[in-house]
Amino acid sequence: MLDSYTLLKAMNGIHDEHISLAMVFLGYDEAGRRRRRRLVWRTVLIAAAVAGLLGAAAYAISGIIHSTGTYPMDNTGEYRSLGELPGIEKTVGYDITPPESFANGYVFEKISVKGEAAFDENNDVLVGFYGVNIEYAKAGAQNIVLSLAPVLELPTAGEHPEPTETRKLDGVEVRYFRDHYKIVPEDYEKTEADLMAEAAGHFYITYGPGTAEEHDYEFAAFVLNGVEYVLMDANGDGEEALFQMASEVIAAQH
Amino acid sequence: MEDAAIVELYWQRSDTAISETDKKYGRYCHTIAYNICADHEDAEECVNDTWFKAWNLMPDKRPAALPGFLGAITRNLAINVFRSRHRKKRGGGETALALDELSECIVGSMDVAREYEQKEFESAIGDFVASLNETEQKVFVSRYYFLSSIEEIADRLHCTQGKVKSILFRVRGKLRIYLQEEGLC
Repeated sequence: MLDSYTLLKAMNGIHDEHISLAMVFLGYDEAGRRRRRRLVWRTVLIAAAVAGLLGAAAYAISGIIHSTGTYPMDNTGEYRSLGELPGIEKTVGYDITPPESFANGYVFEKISVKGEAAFDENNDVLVGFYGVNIEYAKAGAQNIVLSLAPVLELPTAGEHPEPTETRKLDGVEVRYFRDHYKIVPEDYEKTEADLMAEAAGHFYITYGPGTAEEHDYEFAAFVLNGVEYVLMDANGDGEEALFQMASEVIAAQH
Repeated sequence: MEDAAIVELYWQRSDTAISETDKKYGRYCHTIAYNICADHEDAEECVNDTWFKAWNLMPDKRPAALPGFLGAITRNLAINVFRSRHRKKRGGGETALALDELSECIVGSMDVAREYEQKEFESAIGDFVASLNETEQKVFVSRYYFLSSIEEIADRLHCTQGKVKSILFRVRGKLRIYLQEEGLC
C-alpha cells in the first residue's frame, strides 16, 4: 500500500546519474565528502571569544576554521513575526533585539533560523551553531539582510580582510565593507584577472550552480554582547546609509 | 581505494572491506542517515547497520555504483528508525516535513486494492525523475532523496526559499499525476 513512507523509500529508485547530479549540486565530492565553499570575509569575522553562548561543547573544541556552511540542526525555520523572538532566542542561545524598521524605509519582513557549522581543513565539523537572518523589505529595493551568529572561540585560516572604513558608533566599532562578488559554477577556473582582483582585495569568488554572475555588496559588521551582526545591502545605498542602519541596530540593544 | 576494489574485498570476504567502506563512505552515509533521523547516535547506528547489510548482500550482489547502493541501504534503515521513533507522535525535522509534502502526491492510497512491490514504486520514481528538467531533478532529489532542507537547496540554487517551495510544489503535482496515470495510487 502506498503511503508517504513507502514513497520516501521509493526514492531509492532514483537513477545513479540523478543522485550524482544532486550530490554535485549539494557539494558532495565523488567520495561523498562535503565540499565547503571558500572561506569568505564574513567567516573570518567570527573570531573572538564567547564560548559560553555555545554551551559546554564549545570549551572542548579546538582547531582552525577553514570554512563555514549549512549544517543540519533541529528547530530551524522561517518566521513572519517578531513576536516569535522569545522562542527563537531559546533555540539559538543568544538575545536578538532587532529594530522593527529603519529610518530609511526598510521594514521587517521575516526572520529565519539556520543551522551552520565551522569546518576544519578536512571538512570535519569543529562546532555547530545557529545563525539568524532577519530580512527587511522596501518597495523597489532588494531586501536588506541583518545576519547574526555567535562569535566563536576559534582561530581562522587566511588573512583578515581590511574594512573599507571603520567608525565608532555609541562605543561599538562598526566595520564597513564594499565588496565585489563573482558567483561561478563549481568547475570554474580562475582567470588571471580574477587572481589579480583577489590579490587587490574586496573581490571574492564563490562557487554555485549555473552561469557566472557578479554582484556588488555592502556590509556593516560589528559585535555586540558576543554576537556578530552583519548588515548586507545589495542596493548600493552607500556607506552613510549602512552606518546609519548599524547605529539603529545598536540603539535597539539599549 | 576505487569502488570496484572495495566491492572485490566484500566478495573475497576480506575483513578490510568494511573499514575501507567506512573510510570512503562513512561520512556520506552518516549525512544521509542524520538528515533523516536528526540524531547522531541513531545515524551512527544506521551507518554500522549499513556495513552489516552490505556484508550480507555482497556476494551475491555486485553494485555498479557503490554510493547509490550504500545510500539506499542507509536511507531504508534511517527511515525505519525515524518511523519507529515517531510511531506515536510526529516529530519535527526535515523527514516529517518531507513526508507531509509527499502525502500530497498520494490519492486514495488506503483504498488501493492492489499492493505494489517496493521495487515497482522505485522503478516508477526513477523514471519520473528522469523525465524532469535538470533544475527540477536537483531540487527534487536533494529534497526527497537526501532530505536536504529548503534553506540549503535555496542557498545552493542562489534563489529564495519561496522559489524552491514553488519548484517542489510543481514537481509534486507532476508526481501525483504520474502515479495516478501509472495506476500506482
